[in-house]
Amino acid sequence: MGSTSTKIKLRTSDQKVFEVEKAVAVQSQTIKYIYENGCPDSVIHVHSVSGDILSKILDYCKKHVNSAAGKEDISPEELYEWDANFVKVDQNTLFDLILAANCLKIESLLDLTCQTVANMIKGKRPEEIRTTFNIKNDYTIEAEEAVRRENKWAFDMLGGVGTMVIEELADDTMSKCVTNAKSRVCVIAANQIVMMRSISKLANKKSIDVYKQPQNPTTPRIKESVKQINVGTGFIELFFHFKCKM
Amino acid sequence: MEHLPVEVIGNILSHLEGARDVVIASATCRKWREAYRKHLHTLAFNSNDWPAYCDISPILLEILITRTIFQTTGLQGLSILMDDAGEFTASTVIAWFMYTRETLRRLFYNVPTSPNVNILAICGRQKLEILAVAHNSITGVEPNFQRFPCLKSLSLSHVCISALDLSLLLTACPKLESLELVDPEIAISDAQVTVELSSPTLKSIYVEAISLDKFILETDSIERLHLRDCALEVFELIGKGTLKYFKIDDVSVIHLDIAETVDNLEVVDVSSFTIIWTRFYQMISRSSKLRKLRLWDVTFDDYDEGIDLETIAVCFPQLKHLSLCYELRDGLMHYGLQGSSNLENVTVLELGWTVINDFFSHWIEELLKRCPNLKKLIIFGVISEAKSHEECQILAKFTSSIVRLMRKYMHVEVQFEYE
Repeated sequence: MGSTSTKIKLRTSDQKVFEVEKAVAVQSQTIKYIYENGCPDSVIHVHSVSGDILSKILDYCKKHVNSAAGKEDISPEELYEWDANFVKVDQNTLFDLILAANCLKIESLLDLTCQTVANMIKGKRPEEIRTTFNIKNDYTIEAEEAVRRENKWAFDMLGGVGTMVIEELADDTMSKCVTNAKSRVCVIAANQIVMMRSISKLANKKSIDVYKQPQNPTTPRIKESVKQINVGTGFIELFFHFKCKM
Repeated sequence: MEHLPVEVIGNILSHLEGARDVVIASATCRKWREAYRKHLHTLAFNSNDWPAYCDISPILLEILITRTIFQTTGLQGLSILMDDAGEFTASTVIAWFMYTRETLRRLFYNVPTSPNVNILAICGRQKLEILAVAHNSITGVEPNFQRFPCLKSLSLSHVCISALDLSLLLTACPKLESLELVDPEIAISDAQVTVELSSPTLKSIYVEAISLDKFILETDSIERLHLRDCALEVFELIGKGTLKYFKIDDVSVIHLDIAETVDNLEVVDVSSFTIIWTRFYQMISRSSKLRKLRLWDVTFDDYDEGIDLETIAVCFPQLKHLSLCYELRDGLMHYGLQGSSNLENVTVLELGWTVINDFFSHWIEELLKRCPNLKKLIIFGVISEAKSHEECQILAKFTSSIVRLMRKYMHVEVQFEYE
């Protein structure tokens, strides 16, 4: 076992060489394994990581090693803040960091970066997630419908706080409601006359799901339907009441 | 994003935790759906994340939880924490635990099951590292058949368990490091309610809302002990001097014995307790490594002479953080300020008033003199809602006197915390 001031050389995919202290480099389980089982003197190749990314990663490892060893007087809160600033990078860099942390097996960095992406996903609908990360939707319409139907409870955001009900409103008032809406779901009464195209456009812009009660002499008034739900029929049943999504 | 392998997407979705968020995200594209089905390692159904769970009837909740869990493979962490959700049926809960048995490492479950399910018998034991159970009963513990070889952390809240089963359970967990017991219903067989626990590996124990005649804890590795809102006649800690952190909060205990274990104590935090100072001091007098001492909302016996700073200064030379809040009767204060030894290493001083009066201002002044290396002073106070004119005047006068006082100690940072 060498002393802690042993240095390890790392060569990146773009042929940059970094010399780092062993204690910092072995934060990566991959490097640790290679070092302990391979040739400790020659250079370790990290093929999948570029110089820029490795440089950032080594900053991270150094900070964490120093703080754990007490070499740097940094409180847990300060380290947490440092980590938060560390991941304030553009998406491409973030994904490169994730790939590198995965490949080099640096668990705490992988957790940190994955959590950052998870925070960007939380609360967004699939359409919004696709826009944020530039993901192509490769579902067929049937397949996507099947996924939504299999997990109706998650996609049905009806009921409770967050549903806007529109009944007996003039057209322009209705537009105003949708424009100013904070809710994600809008339910339009059966007897409400509606300019479908304009409302759809507005609603799509704001990512609001619009449901229209089907026209039917036996359809209960919206207020009764909503009351029924609150008494405990649950989301799944409500979906069958309002089948007609705009 | 296209270059991220599906396992990494699974890791990202696992950090979302909330089942609803994960399911919605899985509709993004086919790779994400595959990540959800094959590479998700953590899933949570917590009413804190999505309060609307409570609007769904228990039967429908069971259906959606079952359908979601069964779409995944290889789940390592499962959390079902629904406050006020009603009850789940035993057969469904058994299905969840059996499905995840082979791979589960962390389980959090707090919904009552009807009829009662013996969670310990059903859930995966081989890999389980963290187990937190609430509002269920635990019976018939058999350490020979039901061992938890990897369990490090156990938390039992509002659980019905016998004293014998509890102690057998600890023997079934050879690597247990952390134990949390909150408001347990200890079934008794004797007239005396006694709990005797023994674990060579236990490092941290937290007990809340327990009422016993005798509580004996035997552990050679204990580092943290925290009792809260307990009523005990006898509490005994048998160990080897590894205790570092000792905290009691709103506890009534007639006979407290941790004497053998105090040599390495670093933090002592006592609040809402009646102290007999001489006895208490005898108990911790060997803790020369003490860094933090907090005596908050403590009351002294009528005949007690109270805390004296001289003793604290001499016996705890490494003390860095001192927090005191108790009623300053005239006699107590004068006795307490006798002697002249300084608290050399104290850098943080927290002082709270029970009543604002001149005693308190004077006391702050005296303490400041005794802490030559002080960096921070925090003054705590309780302000009543209905403030009479007189009370406002007293507070104003106090504030002015502190401002005057602190001019002599410009290097000390002063903070006020009122509630």
